[in-house]
Amino acid sequence: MSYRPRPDFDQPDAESVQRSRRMLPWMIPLIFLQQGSLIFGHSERLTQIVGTAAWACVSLLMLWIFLGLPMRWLSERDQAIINDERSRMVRGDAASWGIAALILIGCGMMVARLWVQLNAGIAIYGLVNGALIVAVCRYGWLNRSEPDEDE
Amino acid sequence: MTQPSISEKAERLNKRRARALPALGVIFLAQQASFLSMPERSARPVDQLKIGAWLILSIVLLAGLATGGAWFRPRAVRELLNDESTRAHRQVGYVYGFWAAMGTALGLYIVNLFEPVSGREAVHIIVTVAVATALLNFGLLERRALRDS
Repeated sequence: MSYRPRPDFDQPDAESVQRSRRMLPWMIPLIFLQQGSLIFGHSERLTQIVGTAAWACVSLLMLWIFLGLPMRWLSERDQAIINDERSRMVRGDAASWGIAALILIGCGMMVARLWVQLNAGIAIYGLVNGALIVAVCRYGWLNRSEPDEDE
Repeated sequence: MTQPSISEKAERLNKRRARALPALGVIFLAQQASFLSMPERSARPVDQLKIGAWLILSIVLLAGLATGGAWFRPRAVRELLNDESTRAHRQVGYVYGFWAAMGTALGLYIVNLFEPVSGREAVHIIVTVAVATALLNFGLLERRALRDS
């Protein structure tokens, strides 16, 4: 058994980041559903702006965690673990699913607008969330924990 | 004259793809200027046809990027065209394309709070940015790899 030095005790390491990456995808649809009700379910301007800001933050955070910018606060060893060849492959695959979902949802919206008025806010919200949910769920699926060798 | 071998064919196609993809990305982006002059609720069949053609072109470009192209070539040539470095460049292209699409969408959402944007324009801009960024990135990485090798 090994212990981490005390000054680093409460800092995240590569393993904890990977564990969070595995756990998060299943909560995302709930987060977006809740934020959608805040943005589109209220008519007050302030509530809509707060909801939009929260949605933008959560979306960017998802992008950062899953399709990522480098996490500079981690040690070089942890950054290398998070950004190894397999992680890059998984990220690329998840992004390709996200782009495919984006185009399919976009096609659906372009066809639907022939019959219903397409509001820009709802169109953007649907495109971003649809693509993000597909990409992140794909990421979660490819990155799911594998059974230990002795199991 | 002797027939070129499979590897020679693949190399030639690879060079052609590296030249063509960035150019296609720029042409695809430049073409979108014609959509800016289109009225939002236009019912003219020619406008619907234009939108349909744009959607089909987007899907074809993405399919070309996903498969590596050369659809009518022998399987052995396609496999050589789809080597490890090409796959890595493609993954990078996808990640950049996805980031660009999400960034554009969030930017458009903020713009829409102050200056109304139509739903069609929003979908059009976001999808175009995603496809063009992924294509350009992949093409440029392939070009750089060919130049360095």
